[in-house]
Amino acid sequence: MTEVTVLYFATYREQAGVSTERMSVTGDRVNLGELMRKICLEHPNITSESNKIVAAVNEEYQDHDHILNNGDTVALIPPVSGGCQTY
Amino acid sequence: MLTERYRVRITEEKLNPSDATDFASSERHGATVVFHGVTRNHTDSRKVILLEYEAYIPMAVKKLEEIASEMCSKWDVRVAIDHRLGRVDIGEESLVVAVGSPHRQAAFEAADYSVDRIKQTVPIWKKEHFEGGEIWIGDVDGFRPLEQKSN
Repeated sequence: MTEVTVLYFATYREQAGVSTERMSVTGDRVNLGELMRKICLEHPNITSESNKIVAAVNEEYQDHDHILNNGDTVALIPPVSGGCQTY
Repeated sequence: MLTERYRVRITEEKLNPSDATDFASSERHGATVVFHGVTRNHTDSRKVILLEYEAYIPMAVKKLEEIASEMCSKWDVRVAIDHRLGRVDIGEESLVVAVGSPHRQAAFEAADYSVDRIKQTVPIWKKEHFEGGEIWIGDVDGFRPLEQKSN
């Protein structure tokens, strides 16, 4: 069992209806992609496909094959503010 | 004592560009470039009322520090980066980047680089409130922070 804290911001926070929660995934070598799939199942209002969600683990961007540890903080990172025609 | 060549701030207070400019200035410098990112009154044909910024603060500070540190290693510059959160009205700054350098070319280049990098990797989001609605701004297809990391 791997237990992590999940943080939601901006679009994802509004879609999930929470800003932070604890989440457990069965297994010892759970990767970020598996957690994203579980999050999307539990929060069907998240419209992004799970394999397209960008996430950070303990404040660093990671690929979906990154292995999670108990107690990690995982943040779902929506596209950042400058993606298009700002400034 | 080692003097830091950069500082970054994330705040809900109104930004004070002269404070950033003062930090970036030095008697060694012949140039200071100051970028103001300001809320504009329109996006395409939409009339914008205000912008609202949200951040993953500890990670945003860390990413801004990484960018400022990169700037100092690539160019002979001093750097101050201030980003505002919360509601930012039309004409007010959401971002101020001040870059001082002995020569103008480095200051212009570093300032230009910083704004691109900030928009690519720093977890700060912007909600645009316009007449008739609101929308989180972002371009999913253009958002590739992991690829940017290898630069």
